[in-house]
Amino acid sequence: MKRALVLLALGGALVAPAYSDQHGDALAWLQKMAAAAQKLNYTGTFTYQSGGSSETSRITHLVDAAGEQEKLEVLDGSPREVVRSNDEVKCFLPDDKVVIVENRGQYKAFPALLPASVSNLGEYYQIRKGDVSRVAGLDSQLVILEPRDALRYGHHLWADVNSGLILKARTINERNETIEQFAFNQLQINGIIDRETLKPRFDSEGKAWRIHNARASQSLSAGSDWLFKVQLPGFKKSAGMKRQARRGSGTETTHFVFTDGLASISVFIEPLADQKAEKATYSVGAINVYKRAAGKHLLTVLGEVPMATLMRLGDGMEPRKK
Amino acid sequence: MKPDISALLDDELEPGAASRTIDALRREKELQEAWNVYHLIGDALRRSPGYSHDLSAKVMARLMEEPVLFVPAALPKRTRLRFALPLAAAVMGMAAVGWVALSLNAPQPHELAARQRPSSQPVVHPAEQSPSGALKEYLVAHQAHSPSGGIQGVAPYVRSVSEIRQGGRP
Repeated sequence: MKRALVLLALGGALVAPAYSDQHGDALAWLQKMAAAAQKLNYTGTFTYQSGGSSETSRITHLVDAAGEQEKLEVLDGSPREVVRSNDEVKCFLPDDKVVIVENRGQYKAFPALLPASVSNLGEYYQIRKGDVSRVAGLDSQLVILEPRDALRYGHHLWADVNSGLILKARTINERNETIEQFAFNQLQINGIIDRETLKPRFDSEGKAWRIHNARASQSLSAGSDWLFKVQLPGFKKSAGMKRQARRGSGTETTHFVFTDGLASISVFIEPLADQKAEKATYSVGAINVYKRAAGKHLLTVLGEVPMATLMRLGDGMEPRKK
Repeated sequence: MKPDISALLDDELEPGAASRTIDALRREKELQEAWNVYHLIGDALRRSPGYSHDLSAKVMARLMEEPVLFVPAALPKRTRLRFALPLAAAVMGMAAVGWVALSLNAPQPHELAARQRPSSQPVVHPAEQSPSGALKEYLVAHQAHSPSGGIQGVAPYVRSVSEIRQGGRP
């Protein structure tokens, strides 16, 4: 009996480091991906697929003394563009002649987020390395994040073995089906990039464009008058903001963000203009959207998580009684 | 006349127009069929348990001759059918009828949806999936505050701009 226990203990000792090495190694790859996304200069085209449709875009990333500049141009259909200059993101929607301007929050740096949430991430996802395969002509290491519950999706990330840059990313649902995929077709890393190519092709200063620039300010008290009766395991509130309403209508929207370190959920609370609001759901790629009225407010809950997760959170919200 | 039928179904006609439409319904067989089909669609969309299979057999026979539009996403749990929108009516009607055809034939209609959803969840017809301007801004704001942006850079924003095209589809 004693011998059996000793053997068990030995076995455990042998198995444990192997597991944590695997896990630690996979986490190190995540770090590497994040660092690559921020530090490398690269340009390439990727295909985005979701729900049977696919679109190709060109993406260019440049880091220099002025900081980070990034541009995404959709090459199919309407020539939409997303241009990022450090923390400011502008989305150009030529069909609507609208520019949406947004300032990025504190999650600009994934590595900064990682150390604090390494253990959390492992608590809610089983993280392991997969095979090495070729993507866009480059050898890539697969890292698999498998959710431990039904509240979140799975993620498969393929990183360039040399640079760590993500070459392919897949979001997987509970039936192991791909619901969304980004994959580079062609990529040039560390080539020379002309700064001019990062400028938007549209002149948003022109009178034809409407600029939607919601001014968001961090607010500690944001949403303190709302009760979240349902806590989603692993999702922590990471931001609370007041957003100045659009186009000067004078209303103010509250925006919360919950994240498990990888997936995130946003909750928007706005005054309900008309009483007709009915429950509605939408989806955009891996992002689901759930809308419902709560008293005199409209709640919009959205994120790259299953619809049921959004409903649990959204249905569990109610205004605090004063 | 058919848009009036769907408007009548949704109780969106003025009293005068409503009685004219009902008169026309009495007279014209084609309109009676449209009335029946709209009800069938409505029932199927709302998953009412007791929609008529006799009628569906007739409808099915006609549908075999019609082109079928595959609908990428899903359907509303309930709520007003927007057949009243005159221009959208024809297209939507066809999309919805296409879906009914699929759902009557297939044991698991949801298998056909590009993204699968448990049937207990309310879902919205693609023709209603044109999120408001506010929703586009919300998507961008969400992206800006998501940690995934840190490992994938600006690429996930393609969702915020792709959605425009999806909403524009019939």
